[in-house]
Amino acid sequence: MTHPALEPIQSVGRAVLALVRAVGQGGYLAAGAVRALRNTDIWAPHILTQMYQIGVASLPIALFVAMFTGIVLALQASYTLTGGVPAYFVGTLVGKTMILELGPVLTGLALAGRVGGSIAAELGTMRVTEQIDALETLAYDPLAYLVVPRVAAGLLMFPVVVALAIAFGVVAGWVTSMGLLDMGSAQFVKGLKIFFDPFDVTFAMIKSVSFGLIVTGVGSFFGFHTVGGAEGVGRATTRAVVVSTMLILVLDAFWAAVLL
Amino acid sequence: MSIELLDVHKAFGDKEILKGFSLTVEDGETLSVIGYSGSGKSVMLKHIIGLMQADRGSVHVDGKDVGALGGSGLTELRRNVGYVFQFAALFDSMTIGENVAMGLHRIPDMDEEEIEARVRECLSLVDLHDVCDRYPAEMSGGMKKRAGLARAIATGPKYLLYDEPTTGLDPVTVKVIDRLNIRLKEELGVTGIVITHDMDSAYRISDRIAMLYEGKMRVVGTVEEIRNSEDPLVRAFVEGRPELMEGVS
Amino acid sequence: MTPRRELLVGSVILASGVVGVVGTLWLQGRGIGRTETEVHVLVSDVGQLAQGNAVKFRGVSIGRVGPIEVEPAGDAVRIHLHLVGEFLPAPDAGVVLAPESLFGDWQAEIVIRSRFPNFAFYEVPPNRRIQGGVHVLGGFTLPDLSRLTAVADEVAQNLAVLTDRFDKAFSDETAASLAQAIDNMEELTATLKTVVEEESSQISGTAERIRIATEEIASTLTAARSSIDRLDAMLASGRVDSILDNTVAITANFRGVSGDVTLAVDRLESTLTSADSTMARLSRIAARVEAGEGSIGRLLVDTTLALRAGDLLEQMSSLLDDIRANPRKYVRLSIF
Repeated sequence: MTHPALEPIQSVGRAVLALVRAVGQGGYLAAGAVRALRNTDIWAPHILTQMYQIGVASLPIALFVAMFTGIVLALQASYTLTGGVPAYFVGTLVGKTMILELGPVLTGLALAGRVGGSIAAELGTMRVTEQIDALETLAYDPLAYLVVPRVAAGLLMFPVVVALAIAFGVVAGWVTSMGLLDMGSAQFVKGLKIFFDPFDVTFAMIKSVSFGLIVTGVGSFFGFHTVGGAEGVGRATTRAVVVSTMLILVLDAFWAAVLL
Repeated sequence: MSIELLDVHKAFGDKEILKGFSLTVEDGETLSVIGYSGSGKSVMLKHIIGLMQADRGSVHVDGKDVGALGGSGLTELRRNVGYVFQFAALFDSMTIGENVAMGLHRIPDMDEEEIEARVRECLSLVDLHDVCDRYPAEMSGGMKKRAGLARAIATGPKYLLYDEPTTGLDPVTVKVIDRLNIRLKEELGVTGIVITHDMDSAYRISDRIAMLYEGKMRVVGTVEEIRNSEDPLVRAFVEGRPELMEGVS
Repeated sequence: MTPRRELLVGSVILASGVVGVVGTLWLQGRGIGRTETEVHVLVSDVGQLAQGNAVKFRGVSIGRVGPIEVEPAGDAVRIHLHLVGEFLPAPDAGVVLAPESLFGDWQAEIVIRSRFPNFAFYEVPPNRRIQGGVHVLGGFTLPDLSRLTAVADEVAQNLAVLTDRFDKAFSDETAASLAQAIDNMEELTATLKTVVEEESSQISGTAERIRIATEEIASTLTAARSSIDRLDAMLASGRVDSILDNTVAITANFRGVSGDVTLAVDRLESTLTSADSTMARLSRIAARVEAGEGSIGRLLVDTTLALRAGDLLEQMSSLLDDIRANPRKYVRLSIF
């Protein structure tokens, strides 16, 4: 036991060690998953199911979020842009914000809860009920069987979901502008097109691929390293959602700094 | 060939579970491992199939060092070793039939029909009929345990590791599993390691019985030797009399 | 179950692919399967023009700005214009790069260069005007607000110096001499008028005398004009009321004189035309002075006045002309 006065210093040390260990475990898991790519016969049959679970089944929530984001963006843009600013700027604002920021990030956050949480809970339950051990005893690499299809499906399907969410959000903003703001369709489209840069789309897709990796990877990580029964599963799920949420925002800032 | 554990040490954090455990299991015999809860029996069992790696010491199966096996070596090992989990560990996203077939899918050159036939055969061996399409959640604990056993024997392993196969089961099911155990040994020459708390069952099925105590082998011997052991710890355990343990270190 | 999932996953992926590709093309302003003409523009500086901006021809949007790259030699920038449909630029075509609106979005407008004589279009060497079937036009980039304000600053400073100088130059003495010159001219024209009236029946005989008189008028006018020029620039000081009263009076006389004499004498006619315009200017100045105007702010508004304020003012006036014609071109507000 240490002297009580040294406790704060000790806790710093403990936190750093825990972080280093987590990074190490994450790296180990990632390396294992990359190695597990060889076992195509194990993971390939499960890609479709995971693409369905992560992509198609996430569409309703993603589109729901995007629709209301588009509506709110249009209304707030028209509220903010008064005076000398032309009305078509509503279109610009909705388009730019949806494509560059809110489409990818809000979809990422929504899916961090839906996809990351469910992966952590599923793998966590499998871990504490020894199903992951059972997989191993049956000569399945659990990384290939469980982690690879989820992460691969996340990488493939996040951009798909984000692209549809962006389109849906922009259309929602468009309809709002026409229906509630007395704007002409042509005006909105003019604003939409005027500052459009194809790179924005690339940027959004890069972001969403990285969010897919984060959400599925972090979910798998916490699920895979679950200890301690039902409570442990709950803890793993919460951590997966919290950590992937934070990492999405950090990564968002990172890409903005690096690519814009 | 055989299973051989030599001076195995294993710790989780500060907590030492195995402190130099050694055990040799001969081919064709059934060995029961007894010991108090938390004494490291399951941990020991997981070393044999490579789910855990020893911090120190070695585990050999068929003369091969399990700790040094790579991916394909482990796959090969796991085809020869079946593991019956304490709580069955059935995959709850799959039907019982798919669960039992899991290991079979890893065997090359086995077509779907053969797999299906083998699944039925294994399930009837454990007295389960018409459950192929049911999910684990729809079955009782005893049925799940039997299904877990069926899954473990499906690939026809040379070794079977049982983690408390009869705990929590009704006496009739216990008998069914014990009989299956004996049948597997006598008809197929399967070597078994059984972790159990049920001394009656242990006496029925075992050739030898080992006791694990505080991370080390306390005693290993034939059923007769254990029955007649003078060791107060062993007697306390097998007779269920904690007062015998007082003053023993 | 599996075929249904395959169908769903497949259709979601395809839908997003279609949305992504078609949406991007649409937002970029590209059509699918439409004929497109490519025209290149060489210009020394692109200002704020960016890929995707509108290309206009007679005010109609006919395409989009494509890639923009610096020429290998580094002496110019090449802009690719993607135009919808067939487009053949006129031989004298040039491209003006300018802000499209107040909000920072630029455009490239294909124009006839002779319409904008003041714009220094990039001169594309004749042998490079068509490269690989693509027409290469010279471009001119309008200065944006930052440059404009810099110029305006300079103009304002120089104006301050100028008016200061005028203040000093126009002492009471110079004003008096101007008044004197004008008086002389009035006297002269009165005389001339009398002569013309007297000799109108035998006008050819008096041609010689008229010639002499005309020369005198011309030289007086030259003096008057230089005084007026100075007066013009000096307006801000507001000390010229009396002089202007005089000039207003003689303007009327001059008009009368010219009305009589131009019929007979060619030389006189041209002199008087020039006098007329000088007087027109004077009367305008007088009107303005009467209206109490004359600050530098007013000067900036009136191009006619500004134009005459020397080289510097000319430079400013061309800018001002353009500002007046296209006020929105010069104000750039970038929100994003």
